[in-house]
Amino acid sequence: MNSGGASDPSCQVRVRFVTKLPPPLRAPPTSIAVPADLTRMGLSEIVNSLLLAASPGHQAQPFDFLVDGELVRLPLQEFLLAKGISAERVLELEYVKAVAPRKEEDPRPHDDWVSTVDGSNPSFVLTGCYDGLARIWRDAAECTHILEGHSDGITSASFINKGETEDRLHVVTASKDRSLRLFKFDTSVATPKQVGAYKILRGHTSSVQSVAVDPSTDMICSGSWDSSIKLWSVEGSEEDGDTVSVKKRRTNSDSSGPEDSQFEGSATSTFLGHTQCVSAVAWPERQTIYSASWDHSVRQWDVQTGKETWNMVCGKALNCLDCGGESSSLIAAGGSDPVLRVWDPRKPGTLAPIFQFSSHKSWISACKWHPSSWFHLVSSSFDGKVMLWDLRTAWPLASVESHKDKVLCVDWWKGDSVISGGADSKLCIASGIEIWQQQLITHCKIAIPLFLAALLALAAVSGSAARRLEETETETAPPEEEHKPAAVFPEIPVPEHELPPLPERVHLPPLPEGVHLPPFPEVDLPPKPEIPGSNIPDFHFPKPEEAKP
Amino acid sequence: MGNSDGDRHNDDLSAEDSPWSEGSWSDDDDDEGSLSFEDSGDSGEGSDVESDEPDAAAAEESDSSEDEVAPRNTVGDVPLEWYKNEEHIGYDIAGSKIKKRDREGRIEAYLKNADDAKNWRKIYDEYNDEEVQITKEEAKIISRLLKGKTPHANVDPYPDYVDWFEYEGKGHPLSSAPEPKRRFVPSKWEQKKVVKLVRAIRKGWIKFDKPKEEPNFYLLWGDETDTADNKRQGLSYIPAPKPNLPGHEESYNPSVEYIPTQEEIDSYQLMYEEDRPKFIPRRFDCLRSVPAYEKALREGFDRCLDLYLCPRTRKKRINIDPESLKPKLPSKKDLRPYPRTCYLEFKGHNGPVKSLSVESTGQWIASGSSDGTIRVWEVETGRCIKIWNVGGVVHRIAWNPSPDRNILAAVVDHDLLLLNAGVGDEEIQMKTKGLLQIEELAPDEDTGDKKPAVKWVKHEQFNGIMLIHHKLSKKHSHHPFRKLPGLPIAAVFHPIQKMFFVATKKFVQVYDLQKAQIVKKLEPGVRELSSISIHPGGDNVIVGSKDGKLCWFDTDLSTRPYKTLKNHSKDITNVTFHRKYPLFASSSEDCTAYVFHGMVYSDLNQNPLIVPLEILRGHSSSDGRGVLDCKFHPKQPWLFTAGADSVVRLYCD
Repeated sequence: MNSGGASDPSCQVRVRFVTKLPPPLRAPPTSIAVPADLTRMGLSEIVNSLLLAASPGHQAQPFDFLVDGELVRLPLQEFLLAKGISAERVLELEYVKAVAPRKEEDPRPHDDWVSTVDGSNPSFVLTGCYDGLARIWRDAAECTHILEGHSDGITSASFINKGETEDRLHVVTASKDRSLRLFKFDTSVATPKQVGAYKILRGHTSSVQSVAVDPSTDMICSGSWDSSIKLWSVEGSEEDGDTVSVKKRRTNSDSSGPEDSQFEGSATSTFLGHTQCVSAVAWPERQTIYSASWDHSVRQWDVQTGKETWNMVCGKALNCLDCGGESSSLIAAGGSDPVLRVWDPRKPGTLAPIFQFSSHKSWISACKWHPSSWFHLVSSSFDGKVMLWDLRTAWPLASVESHKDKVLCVDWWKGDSVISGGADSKLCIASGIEIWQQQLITHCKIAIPLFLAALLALAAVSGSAARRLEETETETAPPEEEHKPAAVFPEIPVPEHELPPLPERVHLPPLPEGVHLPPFPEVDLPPKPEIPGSNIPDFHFPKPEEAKP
Repeated sequence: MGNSDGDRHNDDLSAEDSPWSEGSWSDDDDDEGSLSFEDSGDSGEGSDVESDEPDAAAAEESDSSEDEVAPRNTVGDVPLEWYKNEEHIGYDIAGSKIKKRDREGRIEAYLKNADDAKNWRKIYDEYNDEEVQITKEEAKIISRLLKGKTPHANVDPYPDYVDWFEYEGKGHPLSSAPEPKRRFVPSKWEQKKVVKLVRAIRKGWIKFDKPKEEPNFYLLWGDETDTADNKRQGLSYIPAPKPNLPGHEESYNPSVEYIPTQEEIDSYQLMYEEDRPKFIPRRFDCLRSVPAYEKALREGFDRCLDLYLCPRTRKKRINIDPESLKPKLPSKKDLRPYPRTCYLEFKGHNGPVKSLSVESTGQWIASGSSDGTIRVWEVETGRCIKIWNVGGVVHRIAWNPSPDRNILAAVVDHDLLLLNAGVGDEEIQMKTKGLLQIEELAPDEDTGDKKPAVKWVKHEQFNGIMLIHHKLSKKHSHHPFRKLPGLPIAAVFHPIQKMFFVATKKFVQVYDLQKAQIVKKLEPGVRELSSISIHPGGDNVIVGSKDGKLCWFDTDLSTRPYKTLKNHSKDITNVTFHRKYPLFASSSEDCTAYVFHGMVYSDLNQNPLIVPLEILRGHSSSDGRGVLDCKFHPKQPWLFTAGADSVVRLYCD
């Protein structure tokens, strides 16, 4: 079907650009003929010129293109050949904003390796460090609080969202000293920078590796090297717990002072079943906990009964686990090999991963789903790289190489930034990642103004979930206002003097090794024809002042 | 027949035979050489009349051949016409010529016939050229023969039959009685027998051999040498090698491409004679103009010489697929997981890392280096969490295998250090502290001159820290092993029984700890042992040697190695078994570590399966030393290697 087209010297494909982006970024829906050997960059150029012709104030920006739900990562012709799509019909190219960090902020230095990072709070970032201290960074810029108490390195830390106001923070940390600590403090009061724990959770017999917080926020669970998972209550049994523990503490401990106010809590239940270190736990819904272990298994636990409800063996020791994706039911996990795997536990009968991403060079230390996008993932590896992934392509979207040593942890922050910490004792922030909240729109199936109004109403009525939606929506809808495009995607040839310099470390990552695309037939590509002048109107680059909406 | 005898006969016959002597010679006068008895046929009747005269004795006498006189002539049986025109008829016995007689004329003959009544009995013997007179008896015999009668008259051709057999009273085998009826009626007995057989055949009691089916097809172009005749043993037919068939270039008019150019022909002159082509193709217009092949005789001779002189033997060609000779090993894919790639490096030491040990849960490893430090690392991240500066070269280091005692034992120079690793639970830490305090009663730094009793207690208590024992046995201070034949190199405890393996330079000795005596002695047959490891099942031991060989012993099978693997080019520094996976590894000074699959079956009849899996490279050589130690992770299929390049590497599956 395509062989005739391939041998044709003036090989062209008729395409129509469609999008779900808001109107100023909508190209005219007429179909145009484009050269078949265009890559993503060439297509992006065409869309930008179309947009510029429609509205002269348009500022060029990179786009990514989808054909049948798959991102175009090859020359258009090869892509069509590989997918077996006929080039004779008009091809519908859906374009979205390209996902890549546009800006890299200065790294925040720590005293020791940064082992954990949590970006679930939009205004604060929580980091845990091997020196036993957890730190709170306001807007990821200034360290406002230091959470003390652990005698060994912190392995995991998390915010507990208790519906409190923004200036009340509630944090749990897990450490190699076999304990978990709960902290509660007021961020509006900056005076006591050092904060002590109000409750210590003891019970694990070996170092605690991971901690996860129940979405309804009165329970936390932790996985440890003693191969058990323990559930802890944040609030309950405080009274009986504290008297005993304080007594005990007074008898056999020589420390004094601030620890008087501490309570000790014990686990409400223990899940046994893993045979080796439980390296990661995730608590996506109220009733289910997922855990990953060095015994090569991922297990699903029912919180009520404490029974294992699903079990999957993958053959590698696992280091990290996260649930997300389509209705938060996909599991992404990485471990002692360079492959990030995604499973769908809803599929019966098969334990094969549905996606495998294998561009890393070493162990994967952390992986996180984007909090609101179904498709986007971030992963960090001991090879010093943080990679952004999209389920719709096997190539990484972007690779951030700001760390000099092993990257130990990574998380999304505010939906548009990636924060990562590593063995070079730095917290790195790559921001300006524009992810259009696609599923929100597709789910609601209402016109956007209506949707926004409904959202506002919802926010006025009810709790935090809706507010979260609103936050993300308001953040991402006009992203250009908050984060001025620090750099245009480096592939687009715009005159350099009109734009700020490119960040050095952001570029498209290399082709992954383990990606299996169908083999391409040997086709001699014709020389690239000139883009016909009739199809693309002439345009000029706007002045920076008029580019601003 | 003698002349005298003949004369006598002549005399006897001469008187009577005169009347019918005529006619005998009458019409025979032109051909004297042939004696015709036809003429004398009618004269026989006359002799018949007078035949009663000669006596029987004379007839008998004439029959004997002894008195026959040898012929005068000696020419032999040649045609006499050869001598027709000669003067002589031949030669006598003395070799002198025998002259021909003068011929008688017809008249003379007639006269003689008329004169002599006996003349008709004279016969001319042409061979001897003489006249012979036959006797009367002879003439009679001739005449009787001519008539078709018996030669002698007194023979009765039809004598009366004398019936010598006595018939009376003898009975006769043949009877003249008529044939009985039963001879003409079918036999009832036979019929019964036939019916029986028929029934047996019908019921299938009798089975006939099936005729052998001979294949009616055969290999038309099959090798003739493969037939059954040629396969027989002994002096079998060995076909001569076939000469090459002529090709296109040997045609009288080959294509142009076969004809060598002049340069090529010239270049032949530069070649050695043996390398020169034997035949240079040429073109001719027609077959008629092709000259005789000048080397035909020479080549035919050479060929014959070859066939004659070259000994021909039957080559035993066995059709064996070379692939089938390889041992059938399972594919590496099926034997996963095993360590393949290095993902983590533990960097920090400043000198060659001489030894490492993995904690029993697999969370930490300890390494000892010749820079005088002992480091404890976190496996998960590669972070160094503890450093002790012990101020001496750390030769060996080991964790206590029991998970509730976090004690590190290290051999530093000539001392044994016991360290509280301080990584476990608080309770465990307290316990460990307590243990170490007890030891402080005895000196903590064991210099090897403690009493044996104390050591025994300690050994039982620790349930097998091999280094204490090994160290002590090295010092020759432990009483069970006083009589070690040579310097002990390494030692391990049996994982299940109370046994103890000590590797000396040449042998591995197995001691029973309860009886304190040698149970077995393993002989690897290599130059110098360097390391030993025991399979978790306890029956299999591997040892590494300084000539790069790894020997696998099945202690139940033999004291000799079950398999010896020569894989490393330099000294093996350590060998180790995995405690859970069927894996073992060896590290060597040639900067590599080998990983093998070593499956031990519970079925005692099945030999262990050894499959080489992977060569792990990555360490760099420093001071000619490579990988100094290797240890498996206790729970994962991972291998730690300690290199002389001061790096510890972790190889994962």
